[in-house]
Amino acid sequence: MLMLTSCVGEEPDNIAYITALGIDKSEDGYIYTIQFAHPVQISGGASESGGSGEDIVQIVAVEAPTLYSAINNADSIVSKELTLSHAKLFVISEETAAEGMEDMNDVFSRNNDIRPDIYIAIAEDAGKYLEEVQPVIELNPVKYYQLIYEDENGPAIPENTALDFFSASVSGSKDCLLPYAGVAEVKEEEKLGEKGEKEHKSSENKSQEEAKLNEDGFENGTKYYYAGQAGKKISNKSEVLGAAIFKDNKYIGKLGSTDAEIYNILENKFKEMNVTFYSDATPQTPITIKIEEKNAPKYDINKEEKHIDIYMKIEGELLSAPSEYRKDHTILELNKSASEMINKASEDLAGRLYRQYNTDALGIKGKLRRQFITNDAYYSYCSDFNPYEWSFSAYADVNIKRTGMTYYY
Amino acid sequence: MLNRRQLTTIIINAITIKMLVTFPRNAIALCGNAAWISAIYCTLIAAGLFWLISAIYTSDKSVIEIAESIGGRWLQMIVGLVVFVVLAANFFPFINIFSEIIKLALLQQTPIEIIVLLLIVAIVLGAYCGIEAIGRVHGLFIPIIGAVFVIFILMLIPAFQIDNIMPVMGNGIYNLFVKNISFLSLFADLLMLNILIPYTKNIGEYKKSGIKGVFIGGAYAIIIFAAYGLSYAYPVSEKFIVPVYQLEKLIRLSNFFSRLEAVFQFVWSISILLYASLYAAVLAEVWRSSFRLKKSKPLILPVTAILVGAALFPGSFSQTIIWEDIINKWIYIPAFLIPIILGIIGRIKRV
Repeated sequence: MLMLTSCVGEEPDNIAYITALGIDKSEDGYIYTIQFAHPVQISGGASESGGSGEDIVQIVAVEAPTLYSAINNADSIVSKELTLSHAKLFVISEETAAEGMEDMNDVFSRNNDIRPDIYIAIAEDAGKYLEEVQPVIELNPVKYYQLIYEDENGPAIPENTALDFFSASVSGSKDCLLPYAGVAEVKEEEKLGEKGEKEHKSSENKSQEEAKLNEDGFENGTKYYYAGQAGKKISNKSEVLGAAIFKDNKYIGKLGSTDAEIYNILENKFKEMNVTFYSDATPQTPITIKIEEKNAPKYDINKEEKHIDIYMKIEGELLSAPSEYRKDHTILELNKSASEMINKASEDLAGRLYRQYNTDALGIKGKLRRQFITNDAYYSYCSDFNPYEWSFSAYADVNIKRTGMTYYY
Repeated sequence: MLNRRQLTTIIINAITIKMLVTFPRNAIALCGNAAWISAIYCTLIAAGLFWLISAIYTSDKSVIEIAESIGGRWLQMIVGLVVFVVLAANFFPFINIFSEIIKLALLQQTPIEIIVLLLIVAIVLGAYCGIEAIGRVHGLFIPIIGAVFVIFILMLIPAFQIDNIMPVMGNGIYNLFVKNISFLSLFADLLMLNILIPYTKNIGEYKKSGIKGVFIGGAYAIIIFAAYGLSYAYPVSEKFIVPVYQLEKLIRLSNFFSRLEAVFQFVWSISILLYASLYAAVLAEVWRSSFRLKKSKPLILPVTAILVGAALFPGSFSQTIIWEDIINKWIYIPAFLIPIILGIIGRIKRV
């Protein structure tokens, strides 16, 4: 056994590691954008100092009917053999995802190289997104994706992996949301370097102007961003923000940053984040609280009335509150009003997902499993399941336990 | 002579080994995520059947030796051949399945022929060491492998979701308690334990080891089914060929400590190689005692050749799994019936 683990087959030096893969629709099939690591540019590689941005990865795009024929085609372009064993991200275009993800699910479950915790993101143009992934401070592309997609305190995206999506799709227990990726439309600014060469400078993001402002309630004062709209001046044009909505494996729409945060709270995928809340004393200056979800939300499901009460327990730390608010309001009042704002945002999101999109994004079907004795009875009930018929009430219990280094009660 | 610890670890390993490969797939397809309930039920039945065998059996002889005492040389040969066929059928799909899983999970670049060849070498070398030596290695390694199994289950806990294992009765009571009765085939290796009776001090060792083996092996199966059901919702759980491997893939300690399935597969491989070596040695012993030959060691190579020939006969992994399914549907019947029938006749004839 120990002998067999030696270099029978491919030498590591002869392998090109795919880090991310984009799938777009074309007239004759699909365009696969294969992004693979450029090891000599990664810190610790042959260049010692390492590269950055586009240096650390290379891209090849090929047209093919399936993923494997795409890799075959790409192998005739790339000298090393491409492998999916270190792939961290699959980006699927909206158009492709709208046709259904069954084939992708089959690839994820059957292929032993692909890890179950790989991320799938949806983008308007998957190839373009991967071309624009140019990490500024990260020198390892896989680590870049890990930090972006797996950070529970990071961007407001649904923390769902390929395995979550596959499990939800095959078991029919929910309609899984996926991270939404996008590219900023920027006005490039360039300046000349010391030797007169063109030097890239940060770029102004035109897409940001399109984002709407949250004028009250949860995340008051911040904008309702979609991917590509978050940065004002940026070097890396790729962004991941918001959520792609699915129904029966098919992409049907997207949610912005604020909704993705609420979704993570409702799905127990939320860890902690700095969130702004509306203050009636100072409508222009929001209150900032670091909120943390300690326990999984409790879903009380009334099968007969098709109504769900969602109970959330949230701990908070006050980070900032305007002086006008502090004069007239206590922490208890803040707890109450923050709870109300989370309740409203939760009910609003759940209502939109179930009534507007008619999708079981919160997994009521999965949660109903325990109310049945056998699979036959369960699937019989699920065959008539209509998300539109369900209503929600949210009961958040926000408890601000700390107020920083300044006394406030 | 095998002591009780060695005999117990042998039967625990023989029972649990099937759960590491494709055997649980059928139970999940039949019962859904309630396979753990069916496993409890079948463990109790297996314990009951073994208790019955223990009650009937008073002699220190194996079934083949009892057959000789009852009906002479011809009956000894017939029973010996039946036992050989039952044990060989219980084992031969395993050679192909194990090799294919090793190729899928660990050694993707290595040609399957090399893996099978090295497995054969390991089986033959192990079997040549003799049943006592293999028993001693079992006594040494199986507790370690048991500890690894406990760690494995503990590491899986973050992946558990109680909703996944619901509805509690899975595909229904009839499937759980009637259709899945063939799950008793998990305990078919109790027949092998019977062949090892002449290697024990007395019949009491066989009885105590057997019942311990049934309960520990059954508990192992129940834990695997429960862990699998808690991790993968039905019908996702019935999609995968090797449930334990899918569980291993869920374990991730951090970014730098993932892909631990390679470590676990390596550990399981040790127990599988021990099991395979023991099987070759036991089958050679069955042949020897059936035909009253002096030595069993010269039979190891031909026996292994027969097993490998049978294992490669199906032609593909899918075909092997079909064969395995067919065998597992009936193998428990002769495995339990042979000792019961011969035990009763032996008792009547006072042999």
